Parts: sequence; structure tokens; C-alpha cells
Amino acid sequence: MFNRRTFGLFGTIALGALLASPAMAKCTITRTGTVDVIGNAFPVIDHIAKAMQACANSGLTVNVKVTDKARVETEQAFAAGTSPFEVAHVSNGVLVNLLAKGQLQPMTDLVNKYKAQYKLEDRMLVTVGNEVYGIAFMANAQHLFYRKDALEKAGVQPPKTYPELLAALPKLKAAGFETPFTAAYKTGWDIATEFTNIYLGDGGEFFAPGTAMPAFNNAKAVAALDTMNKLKGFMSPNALALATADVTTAFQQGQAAMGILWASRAAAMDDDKVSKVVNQIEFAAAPAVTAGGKPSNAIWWDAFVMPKQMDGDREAAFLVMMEGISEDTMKSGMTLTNWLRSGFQPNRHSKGVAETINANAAMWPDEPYFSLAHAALGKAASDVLAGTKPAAQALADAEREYIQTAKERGFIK
Amino acid sequence: MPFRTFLGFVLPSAVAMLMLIALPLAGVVYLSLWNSYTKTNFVETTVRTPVGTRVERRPVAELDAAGNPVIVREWYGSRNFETVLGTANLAEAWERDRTVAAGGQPASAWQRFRALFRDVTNVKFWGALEFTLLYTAVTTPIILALGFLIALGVNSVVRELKGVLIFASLLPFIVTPVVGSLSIKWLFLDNAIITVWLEQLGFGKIYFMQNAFTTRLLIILVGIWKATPFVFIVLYAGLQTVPSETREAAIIDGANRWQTIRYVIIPHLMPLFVFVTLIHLMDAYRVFEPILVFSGGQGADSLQHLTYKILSDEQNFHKASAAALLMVLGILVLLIPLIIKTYKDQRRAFA
Repeated sequence: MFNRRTFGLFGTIALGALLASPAMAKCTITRTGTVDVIGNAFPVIDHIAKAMQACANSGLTVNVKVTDKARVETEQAFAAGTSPFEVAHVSNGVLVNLLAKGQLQPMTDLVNKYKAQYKLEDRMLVTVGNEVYGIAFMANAQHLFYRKDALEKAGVQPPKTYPELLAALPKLKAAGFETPFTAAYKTGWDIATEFTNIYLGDGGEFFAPGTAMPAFNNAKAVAALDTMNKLKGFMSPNALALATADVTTAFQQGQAAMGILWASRAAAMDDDKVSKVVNQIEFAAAPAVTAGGKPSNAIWWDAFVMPKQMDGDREAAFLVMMEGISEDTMKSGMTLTNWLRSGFQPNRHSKGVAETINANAAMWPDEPYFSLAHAALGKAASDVLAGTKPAAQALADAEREYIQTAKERGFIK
Repeated sequence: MPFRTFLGFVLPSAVAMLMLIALPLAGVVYLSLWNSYTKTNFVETTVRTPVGTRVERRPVAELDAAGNPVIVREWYGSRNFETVLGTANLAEAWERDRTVAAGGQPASAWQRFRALFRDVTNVKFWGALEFTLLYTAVTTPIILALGFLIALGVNSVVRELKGVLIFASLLPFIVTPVVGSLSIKWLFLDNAIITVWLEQLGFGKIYFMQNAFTTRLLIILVGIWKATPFVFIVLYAGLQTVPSETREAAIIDGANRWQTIRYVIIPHLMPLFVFVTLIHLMDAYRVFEPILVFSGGQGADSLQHLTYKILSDEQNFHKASAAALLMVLGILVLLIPLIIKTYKDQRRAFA
């Protein structure tokens, strides 16, 4: 009998074979063995998965697991004696954690060997000291999505700041949008990420420089929570349950007029199979906290990495990774994401990220202890928005929680 | 029975229990008493990423001679348990002065109790325990009653319909929990099928995930939907074993339908009721998927979800082990009355 995992794998492989588009170039890896890949579930990763699966032949098995629990699974897998995955797709936030735990494998030798063949560009290489630990392939950011038609009808300009956004929302409500604003405010990771965006946009610091001591319990954090509370007033009352997929659906179903969402979801707005708002959504950098300020969002990038502890052929794994992010894969999926290769042709979906980068938005915090602060803040922000705690108490609780966890992980002595 | 024969019967299951239950449990106990982390030092490091190159002081893993990261192991004893239980916060909550209410007048005993309760459930473990117990207490009687009613209903329909009805009743039980919860979330979100349908029926727009009350209600409803088929199928099987002589005798004695159920069927099914209660208490206490999908812990948290959060957010399997052990302890406490009852029944049966 098949267990669920094998069944899922067979299903993915079969589906991959069925859907492999003729535009996909042939993969001609001659190495043998098995390569297991894990990746986060969003449109471009499905596309990359197909390119990787095209490398499978009689001697080489390629399994790609695409799941929205990839972050948790990857961190567990890389900590294991021998990782069950030879290649993982991670965001910058996860990469720094794995790096600080010494769980990433340097691939400098392989990069040097294949750099020319796969046209690897310097800015794709994530380098610490002299070693390459990751191959980045796309930039991502959460930014403003808005309905051009609705804003024009309500006589509202696309907002450049949060005060402008908050002033526009009542007008959109009057124009018939019951819940004009949307964003992923789900308790935990999602709401902490929104808090981080607004707090960073206000120039907020999370840590005392050069140490792991917290510095986020301050007036800017209270102000960020206050902005979020005001925004929540224009969101669905289910706000604290809305994850990224739910926000995507809210836009596609025409329920929201403005919102903050991942750039990697922009192409899905124009997918006429699931979207009622094809070509009506426009994209821009996130609003600033104050006029003339930086956009309130952070630049992310995604990369492929290999675990330090693995068995199997590391060269085969590296080559499958290379095929997944090759120039050909980019060309057949140009509109799916913001590729980092210089051959990338920006399109209307990449406008939000381009504006974010041009405006010099903050980089997503990359201290390896940031995920601990982020987890504590996810609870705090949710408690404040649910009305169970005042901001000051929630932030004090988060600070205490963070110090405890950072001590346990050896970052604070 | 010769000892060798006895061993032949018992040894395989004893070995399986040792390997699959005792050893992992011992492992979890061992883990919970320690703490470990990768040793890092703050070093001036050059980092090059797609966003640019920076030179800064950041923690870098210390490597040993073989190039592997150095892992620090510390004996923690009961410290992980204390952290999960929030003993320091509890002590503070206990000592906090609550004699004056918000308005300035002396606080009533009820107000003082509520403030203390709020402070205690603010500690994640106790907050999670509160909802876990509530969920267990509310769902158990409801699924017993519902499952029994469905079993009686299916048992009395004509033979041709039984197969279809049994299949339909078992469906929620077959659906994978996370898939079940996700699809239910999509039924209950804004403008989803059920919310639109309720609106058309005149109930107005209902937002099921808007506050603690509605979220808890939804999670409990999903739990009932999910667990009732299990009770149904066990009791339905039990109904097939009710001896027809007893039932006919009851009818001849003039018992009506209710009396037959009350005095013949329920006593006959009692061991099965105890069995499903036991299993459901353990299942309900481990409620996880609906929490993960609907609330993320806001308004309704569970001990299983708390353990998962410690593992996934903090990557701390020592503290997560401590949380898991505290949870197992709770299940044991819940099951004590039922275990005692089973033990007494067994002794009576063999006496």
C-alpha cells in the first residue's frame, strides 16, 4: 500500500510530466542517483519544480516537495544527522538561521566549475567570507496592491503614505467596498511580518547594534501597532485569521480595493481562471510612514541552498538546482516573479518590487536571532489587535519572551 | 500456562511497546532535561547578498577541528518545565495587588478572581490549557449523544439505504485533518459558501473568525463534525450485537421504544461508551489542526499547538519536549477516573 508521502510524490511527478510545457528546454544532466528538493508553495516554485523534474531520467530520480510548511520542514531536515533533502528553497530569513547554526554547505567549488555554463551572475551568489552558501534567484517584497478602477471611481490617488491610505479608505468604503483593505494579519508569522514592515518603514531598530539585546519596546513600535489597529478597522472582521492565500483570494474575488501582499502573488491577479479582476490591479511600493520616507516594506530574496549533512551526489543536486533556475527556466516563466538574472524583463507585475528597491527600502532583518523576536512580536501584535492587551504590556511581554528564548539559544549570555 | 508459552504470547507486544513507546518517551524525558545550541561568536563578517555587500559584527558558528559546528550542551533540570509553565509569571500574578478596581473603588472578589484568571491565562501554557479543557469538556458529551442518535437512526432504516448512509456519515472521519480544517476555513471565510448561504437565509453577515467566542465556537463545531463518525461507527457495530431475545422480551413486557433504549440498549453498549470516551478524551486533548488553521493561537490555543510553536518558532526541541511531557501528564490526569473504572470492572470480571 502507498503511504501518503509516496502517493503525493508519485502524484507530483505524474502531474509534472503531464504539465511539462513544450517551451521547457530539455535537461541533459548525465549524473545518476536521487535528488530530493523542498520548496515553499507559490507559483514560481511550481514552475521551477517542473524544470527540475524534467531532469529525471532512467538513472536520476528527482523528487520535488512543494509545501507551505517548507520553512519548518527545512529547518528540521537540516538539523538532522543526514538531511532527507539535498536541495532546499529558502528565503533570506531562513538562510541566515541555517547559516548561524553551521548547517549550510559551501558550494564555492561547484559554483566555480559551472559558473560559465549556467551563466551565474555575481549578485546571485550569497557569500559569507570567501564561501558561497546560496544561489539567489528572485527578489520579493510585500507591497501595495490596488484596484485602479475603484480608486479612480472614488477619486483617490494611489497612496504614498499610511496617513493618505487611511484617509482614502473611508471613501472606498463609501464607494461600496465593505472591507476595502486587506493584508495577511493572521496571528503568528504573518502579523509579525506586517508589524516588521511598518516598524522598519519608520526607521525602527530591533536590536542594540552588534548585540542580540532587544530594542523594539519603544514609541515607534507602539505607533506601528496603532497604524495596524486603524487599518484593521477597514479589514474583514476575520482579519486575524487571514493568511497570504486568503488575501490573494480577497483580491481575486473583488472584495478588496487596496492591500499589502507578496509580489510573488502579483501574477495570480491576472490569472483569468481564478481572478475576477484581471488587469484591474496595479502594484506600487508600500506606503511610507511619513511623507517622503522610505516605503514600509522590506526587500526579500529567495535562494537555493544545500545542507551540510547530506548523502548522495552533491554535484547531481547542484546541477538539478542549476536547471531549476537556469536562463531557460526564467524565459519560460518570465512573468512569474522578479528574477535576479540580468536578462529579466520587468513587466507590470514587477513594478512594486522595482519601486521598493529604487526607493532603497530596508533590508529584511538578517540577524539569526531576529526570528525569535519575530515570533514573540507575532503574539504581541495579535493580542493588541484582538484588544486583549494594551500595546505597552504586549511589547513588554514580547521583550521578556524574546530575552528568554535568545538566552536559551545562546545569543544572549 | 507454561512460562515459555506465556512469553511467546507476550514478548512480541512487550518488545514493540518498548521500542515504540518506552524508548521514545525516555528520549523525550532526556531531551527535556537539557538545553543545547550552536556556539556562535560575534565576528566582523563580510556578507554579500543580492541587496548589497555589508561588513558587520554578527554571530558566526564556531567550528571544531573537523569543520563541524560546536554544539553547547547544558544541564537544565527542571528549567524547561518552569519556562513552559511560566512559574515566574505565575508568582508575579499571584503577588500583584488587585484590591483596587479600575474605577478606584475596592475590587469585589469576582473582579479580583477575573483579573487573576486573566493574568494566569496570559501565560501561554495556561491559556492553551484553558481552551484545551473547554474543548474536551464540550465536545465529549455532544459527540456521544450525536453519534448514538445517528447509530440508532441508521440502524432502523431499510437495508438498501444503510451502505450509503454509513459512507456519508463516515466522510468527515476519512478526510485528512489539515485538509478538513483548510477546506472548512474556506467554507467559513468572508463570502464563502456557508457565510453567503447563512446571509441569504437572513442571518446577516457572520464573521466566524472575528473574536475569541466565534473562533472557539467554530473550532468546537469542527471538532464535533470530525469526531462524531467515530462514535457512530463504534456504537453502530455495537448495536448489531444487541441480542434479539432481550429486545423481544422487553417488547413483550410492554416496554416502549424509549424504555428499550434506556434499559436494554444503553446498558449493553456501556463498555463501548466508555471506550469511545477514553479515545475521544485523548484525541480532544490533542486538538491541533483547527487551531493551526483558524486561530493561530489567538482566542483559542491548545497544548499541542503550543508545543508545535515552540518547535517551529524557536527551534528548541528541549523546551518542546518539556511542553509535550506536560501535555502527556495532563492526559493521564484526565484519564484517571476512567482507568480506575476499567480496572475495577476487570477485577470484577476475573474475581
